[in-house]
Amino acid sequence: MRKQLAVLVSLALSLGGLAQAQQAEQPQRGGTVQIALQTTPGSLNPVLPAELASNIINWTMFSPLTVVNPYTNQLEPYLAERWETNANLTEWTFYIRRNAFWHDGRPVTSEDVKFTFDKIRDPEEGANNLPDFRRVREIRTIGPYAVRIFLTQPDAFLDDRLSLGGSEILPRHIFSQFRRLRDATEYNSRTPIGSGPFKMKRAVPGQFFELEANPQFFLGRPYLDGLVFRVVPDGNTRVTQVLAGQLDWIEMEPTQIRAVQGNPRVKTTNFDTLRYQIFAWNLKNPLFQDLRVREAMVHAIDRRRLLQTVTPGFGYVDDAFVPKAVTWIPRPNIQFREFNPQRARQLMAEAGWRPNAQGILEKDGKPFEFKILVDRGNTQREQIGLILQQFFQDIGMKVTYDVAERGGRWIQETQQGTFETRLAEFLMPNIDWMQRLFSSVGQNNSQFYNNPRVDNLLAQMRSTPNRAQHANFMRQIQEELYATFPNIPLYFMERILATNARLQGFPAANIKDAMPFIHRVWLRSN
Amino acid sequence: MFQYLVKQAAASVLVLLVVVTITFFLIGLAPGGLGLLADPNMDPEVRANIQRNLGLDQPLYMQYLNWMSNILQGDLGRSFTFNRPVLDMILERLSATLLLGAAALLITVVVGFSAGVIAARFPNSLLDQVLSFISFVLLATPGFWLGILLIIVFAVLLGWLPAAGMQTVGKSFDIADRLSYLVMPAIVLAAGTTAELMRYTRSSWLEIMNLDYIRTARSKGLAERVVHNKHVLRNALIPILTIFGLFLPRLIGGAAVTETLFAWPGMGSMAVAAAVARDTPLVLGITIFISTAVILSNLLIDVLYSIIDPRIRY
Repeated sequence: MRKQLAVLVSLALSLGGLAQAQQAEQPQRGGTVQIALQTTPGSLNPVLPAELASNIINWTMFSPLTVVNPYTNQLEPYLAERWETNANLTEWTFYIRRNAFWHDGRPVTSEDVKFTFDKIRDPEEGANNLPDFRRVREIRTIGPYAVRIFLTQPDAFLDDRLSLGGSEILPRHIFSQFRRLRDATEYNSRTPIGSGPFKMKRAVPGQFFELEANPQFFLGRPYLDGLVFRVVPDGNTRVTQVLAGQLDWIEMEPTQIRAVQGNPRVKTTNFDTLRYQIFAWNLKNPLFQDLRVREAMVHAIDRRRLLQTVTPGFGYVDDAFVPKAVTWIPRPNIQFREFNPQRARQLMAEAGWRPNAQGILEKDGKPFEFKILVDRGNTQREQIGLILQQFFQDIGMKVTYDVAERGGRWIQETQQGTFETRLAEFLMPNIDWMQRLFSSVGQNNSQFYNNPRVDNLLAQMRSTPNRAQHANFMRQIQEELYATFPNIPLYFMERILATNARLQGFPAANIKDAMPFIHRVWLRSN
Repeated sequence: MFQYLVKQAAASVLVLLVVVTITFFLIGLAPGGLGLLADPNMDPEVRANIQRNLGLDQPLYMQYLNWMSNILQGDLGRSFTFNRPVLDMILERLSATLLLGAAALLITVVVGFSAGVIAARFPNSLLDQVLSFISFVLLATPGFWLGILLIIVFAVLLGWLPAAGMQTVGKSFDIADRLSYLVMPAIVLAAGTTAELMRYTRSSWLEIMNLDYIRTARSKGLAERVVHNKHVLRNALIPILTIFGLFLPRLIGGAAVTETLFAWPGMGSMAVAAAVARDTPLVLGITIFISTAVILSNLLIDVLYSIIDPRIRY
């Protein structure tokens, strides 16, 4: 008994010591972190259209006015220290931090903000975020550190939209000598000047980009001395480079996790990508306009098994439309619709679809027949398409698996609305996306979902600046979506970070979203 | 000879024209489109602006005529993805490609040729059988698999060599550093060609060894070393040179897999990325360079034929 007591006391003491040590662990300065890019960045100008590699590197060098904090998934001030709006949400005033400087030492001012947003609004520039600025009537500087944006109609989401990337502020003093943003070839490919936590030291396109800490960064000097972005196109090579200590931070496929497990140098972290795979109907098609048919198709799919087969197991199934990681939005009052083929058949029968002699569902002599459009090259969706085909056939539907080039027929059919059903990936990084996807006039509402109740809730949400009310509206909208089946959320996607075990303070988020907060990341000394 | 070269050069221009024309229309007519435009969430107006800025709103034949008129003025155009001059991008990558190609060629010649001669000098011996076995294994091993294997052994387990890249970031130029990055990709790129050259050298050598004039040389009482160096070597080189001519463009332009695997910043990996992104000007620029390399290497081999065998005259 005495011995057991002694063991307990010593355990308590050692645990206490450990907790104290952890509390005492302060971020350390110094070190360089190496991060992989899958491709050579196409443009080091964040306003021009670019791919993921460009976005990752640009988010360390440029500053948007607002940002979604990847640790909390909440909107926060960034280059703007605060902002306000008038009562009817048609005038937004952003106040720029007075301690923000360009990497060449000049101060960031409201003139830079106006210049950047005017460039984005100019259709000739070909900026990616042009649609986000369609409601902007005018941009006016109010002194050197404030800028006012006048809108043609109320918009509660402007601050959200500015955080999404593509609206980072550019230095007017550099670009004023060029007619178009794209004419600044050297700046756009090798010598960018931003106001973010890191600045370009040496760019060797095709090989690496070496960045150094910006001591004047407005949120404080980064802990790290440097960042190196290495272009490593092959996924397996990236994993071996982490194992060999040549890379410190990569995103991995679930199938690669076994290669790094058990290695003391490497730490793995799962994260919610805020993305989900969906099966979308073309809701203009009469075949899918009966709610009972759509509900039947939900019950026809064993989504838990699908997730296990395709990912395998990295992710979760849910009938909500906002990822779990976005915790500031309350969970809707819904219940997951389980796999239930009997219920599916029953619902189809109630909708008038009965099996013919060959077992195919038929109504008025017409079979229940459709195509699933899948984009070639996405291995997950190619697999999902085949699995769904089987599930739907099992309840008597006649389904064709239709795979097409993403940049060709897939995108044409998506945009022209000529597809019957399709597989796609939805992203819910902030509340603005809710209206993009589900408003009857939403710019990304490719499934032609039209629900006046959802439109009404979105309109109410758009007309209030109150975050708590936004959260409540988001819950109500999800409940309405749940009841009306705009699409089937197949599964929410998780991915894995493999990092140097000494890397500390990074958020469990994809690398791109972590970059605006790279100044908080640090390396523990050995 | 000079006349022959002039004639060949004229024919080469025609070949280049046909190659780039076919490539242009293959890219233009293939399903899919520019990688930048593959985002379904892209606004239609933004999409239209990008297409107009890049000239993609014009019919394909007009795009071809515009591109061709620029080419005739020595302008390879600008990359759709990077908005940079294609020529600059190719020249940036050329040195890495040539370095890797030259290293692989050196390995191929030194190892492949020597092993082939050794195998031929001792036909059907244990040494010949071992060398033959190794060459068959190398021929049957896919480059990407061999590459991953080497990375796991030498970079991950032993830590002797860097896994990928071309230089240590932040370090000034250092030959030992560059060599450490070069070793594995060069071996992987050379593996197949070395094995092939060994097989060709062995069979060519053995064939010459059985000819009458070799028997005559031996019956004259010439030392075996002289027979091989003076009589066999020169005659065996003709078929070997033919194969060598096929290797050159493969080593320059065909290193895409090796370069991608080892993140080697050469033209091969850039060609793959450009093709995936449907970056037509960049793909065409690379095609012109690689086609020129093929044509020049064939010309070089033709010239070498006549040097090695004076009976060959053009």
